[in-house]
Amino acid sequence: MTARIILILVVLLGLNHLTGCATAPMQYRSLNTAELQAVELVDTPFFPQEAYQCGPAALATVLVTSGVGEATPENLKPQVYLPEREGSLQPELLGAARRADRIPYIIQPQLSALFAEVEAGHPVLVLQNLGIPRWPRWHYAVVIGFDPVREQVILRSGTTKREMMSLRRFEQTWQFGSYWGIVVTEPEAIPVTAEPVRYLAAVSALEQQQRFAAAIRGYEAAQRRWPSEYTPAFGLGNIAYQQGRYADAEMHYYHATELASEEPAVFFNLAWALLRQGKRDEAILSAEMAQMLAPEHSRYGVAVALIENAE
Amino acid sequence: MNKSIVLGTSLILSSVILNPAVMSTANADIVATHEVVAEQQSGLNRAQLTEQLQREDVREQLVRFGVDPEEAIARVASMTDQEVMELTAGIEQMPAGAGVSVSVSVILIAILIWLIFFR
Repeated sequence: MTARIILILVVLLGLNHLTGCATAPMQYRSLNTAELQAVELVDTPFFPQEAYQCGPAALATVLVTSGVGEATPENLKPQVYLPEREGSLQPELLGAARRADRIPYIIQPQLSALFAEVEAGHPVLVLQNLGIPRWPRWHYAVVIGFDPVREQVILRSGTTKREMMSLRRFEQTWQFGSYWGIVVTEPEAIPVTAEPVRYLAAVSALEQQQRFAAAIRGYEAAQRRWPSEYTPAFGLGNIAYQQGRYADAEMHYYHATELASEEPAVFFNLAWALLRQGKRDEAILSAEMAQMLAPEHSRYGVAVALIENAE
Repeated sequence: MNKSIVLGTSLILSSVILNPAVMSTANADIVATHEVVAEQQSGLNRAQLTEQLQREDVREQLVRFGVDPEEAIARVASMTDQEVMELTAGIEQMPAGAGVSVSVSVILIAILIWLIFFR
């Protein structure tokens, strides 16, 4: 009998210790739910998923919503499923979205950002930990709505088409997943909560992978959204340059210099675009600008020599 | 011996040819957008860019974790430098989102109930 009581105590202590790990403050307490709209993106597709397959299914859900009609869990599985881990890793979901010519964007780790995107019509793919920090049970689901009256989050999750989860419980599972969530939109529809530098980094990843058509759409949308940022013009110039359209590249770089007259990178690349068109004197002038702006830099600092020695 | 060298070389060559991130270095003259953005993000720190060796390491890890070798090349190519770094740190430790199974807390509660009522 005493042994049994001791056993029970040990198990109870274990439970208490395990659930007592999360000490970070919860956001939902300071969230003014009365200001939130009731929203449910009922048209979001649903792919009931077999065991371990929530990565491909959740990704297919957001990809189809973003206009990639052919996306299904079956054809995404080879791209994101990791057999030995019986699940999918976050970078692989991001990579697979890029392979579908979409620009995945990691939202701010905040409930307010999550609900702002859902209100704007963008379902959010979230990483949840349905277990406890020490024994995690990782799960991907898609947030499609919020009921401010009942304070419930609505998800496409696992085999449940319309899972209702209390805001508190949802935040706990999301907090254990480090508040990781992504939106995948059409390149023209920049996420409403996007920050320029991080969004442009997301577009430049597609450019780096030579997915130029999608990257151009992303940069052009960014130009409309943030007209005072020079990076979109710089990126469009770099794509034009890589495609051998040097006159277009020159035009974009000039536009970028108008927005950022102290960025050596823009003058450096402008010099190359001019040189490729045989405008040698102008190219050297631009290289001198780059060199003057960053004399200590390993590349800009020797810009004139690089241009002069190029054939 | 010779055979393994040929095989190794052709593997490296194929991953270099098929990797878009490598193809873009053909334009080593201009500064790439992702480098400039990385500098903007990290402030004064020099942008940390991955070496081809790290991509090769992640590709091998993916194969070891059961991914088809051809597919592993495409997967690594679709990741950013930063994501490759995250995977280099350890595929074993990263969260792998999976389906719904019985949670640990459910098991513990079941043990409790069993201890209290059925013993």
